[in-house]
Amino acid sequence: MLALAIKNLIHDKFKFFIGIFSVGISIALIFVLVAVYVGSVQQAVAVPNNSGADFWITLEGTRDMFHTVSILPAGKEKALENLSSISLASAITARPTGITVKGQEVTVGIIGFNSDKKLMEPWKIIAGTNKLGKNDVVIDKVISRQRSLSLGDKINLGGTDFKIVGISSGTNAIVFQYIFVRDRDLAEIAGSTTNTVSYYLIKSNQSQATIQRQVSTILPQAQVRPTASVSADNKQVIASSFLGIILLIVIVGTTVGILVLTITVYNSINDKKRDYATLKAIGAKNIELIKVSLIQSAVIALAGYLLGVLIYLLVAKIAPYSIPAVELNLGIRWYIIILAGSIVMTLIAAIIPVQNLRKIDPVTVFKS
Amino acid sequence: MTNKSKPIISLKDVSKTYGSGHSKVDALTNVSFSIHAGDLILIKGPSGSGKTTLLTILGLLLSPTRGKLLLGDRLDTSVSTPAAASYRLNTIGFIFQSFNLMDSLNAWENVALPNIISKKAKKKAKARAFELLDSLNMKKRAEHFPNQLSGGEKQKVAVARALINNPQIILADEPTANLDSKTGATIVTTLCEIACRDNRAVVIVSHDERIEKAVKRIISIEDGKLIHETVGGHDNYCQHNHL
Repeated sequence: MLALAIKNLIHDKFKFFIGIFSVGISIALIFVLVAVYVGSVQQAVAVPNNSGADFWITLEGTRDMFHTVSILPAGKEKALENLSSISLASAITARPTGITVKGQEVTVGIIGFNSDKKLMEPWKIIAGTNKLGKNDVVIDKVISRQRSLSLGDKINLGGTDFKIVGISSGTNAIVFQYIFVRDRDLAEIAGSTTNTVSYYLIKSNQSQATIQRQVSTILPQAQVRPTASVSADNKQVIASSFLGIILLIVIVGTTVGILVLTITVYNSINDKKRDYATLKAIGAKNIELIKVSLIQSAVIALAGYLLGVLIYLLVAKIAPYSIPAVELNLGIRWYIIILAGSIVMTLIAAIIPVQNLRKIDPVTVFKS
Repeated sequence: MTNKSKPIISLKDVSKTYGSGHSKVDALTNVSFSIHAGDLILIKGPSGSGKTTLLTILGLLLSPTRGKLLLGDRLDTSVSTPAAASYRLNTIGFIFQSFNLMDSLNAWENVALPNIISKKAKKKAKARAFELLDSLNMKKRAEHFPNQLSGGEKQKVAVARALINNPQIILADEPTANLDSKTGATIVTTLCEIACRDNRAVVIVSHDERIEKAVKRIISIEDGKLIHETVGGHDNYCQHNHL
């Protein structure tokens, strides 16, 4: 029956390929949207996850790194390291700011870090180094691509020229990209007007409550949060901003896929109604004909899935050149999830054709 | 016309009514007869007399409104069950006026279909399909698709398909209607051989008067009623055609 199902399906090659193409496009759309979402989440959590810290000390009430600003007094690293619960403390400044690149204003997320403490260093360097000297900067690869910046080029930050010594990957937060400078260079630019930092990153093997109790004696307005909690809140920002829209478009893509599958299989059965009536007359049971419908639906869905994967891989290959800020990178888990979704799509799409098959009256074969 | 063997199918006072109230149509009224192994029966009658309704009831595709349909000793009650489908698959072979071959399958694949539905191995099904096509001088056309075959060749493929599961009974609906006279005669001879050589029952519904000369029994129906049953010219036909 497998051969019959496939032969009946490919008998009209045009309809067959249009069916596969349409399902492929729907599945590619789902892949791209899921990849955009997953990529956005990965970028949103990349900074805290790669900070190397166990806990973050933030201003009380600060939730994520995008919506809420954390401002803490500078110069508390030594006092924090003197606490029994903290083995290492490093201040960082992280905030959106404007830089001048080749005469143009560009918004970036600037991270000023203490290069002696090994916390919040740029973690993935694709060119150059992450060992920064005075007025050196590491920039994200997206800015490098978008602005045609290479190692040795200069950008202007607060009136001071910084030399690009490294290009980093995984430091793109979609709405802006991160650049990394030494905290003391940043302090020099700010002068005495901003004697503040954004966070203190700490290494500790003590409980959150213990650290919080001790930190409160030095920074009474601060809260101690596990790095995972900062990541979760960053992720939540992306989820609340994009997830609804992405889910809606995924639902539209899935619905289109189901409709195309349904119509293709329904038409295939309708075109061959007399064949199916004959099959019933000569002794095929309904369940065997239902299998035919399911096989047809599965063949189109599977071929559409493979085409969708190919289209997605092509888009993912092209995207960094056409839309550098968008990262499309899905793990194998998502390929399996979307394949499982395609199987569910197959089953749903077979419902109406199956009903149609059940209604076919074998007596009609006696009408010439 | 008496046959001492156990009947394959018996109809006892079978009636079939379509619709209800003012639109009620009595397609068959109190029809009774039995079909035995080796029978070669022609059911004849004018258009609308109930011939095809009778054939579909015999083929377990339609339930009688009243009366009994006996399959051997067993009373059949429903046509839409998997058991009825199995009975059709294993006991009945159908030959249709319009051949009803599948365009997407070639000749041997069409022939093998009932074997495939019975879940027989494809290799065996193919071998049996080729054997049957060979017996009908159709081996050379085995790989051809229906749109590459003549009407007579299509009907031979349909005959082979009807035979592949070794059915006890063949039901043929106007098997010569779409064929020229020479090809029609070949098909009739083939059906005769099936009845005589293989001892299968063959029931033919037809307007074709030439078939009367070939069959053993002629059942005439009119307005849904069995008018009379007569003896056909089977013995002479067999002698004449060296069957």
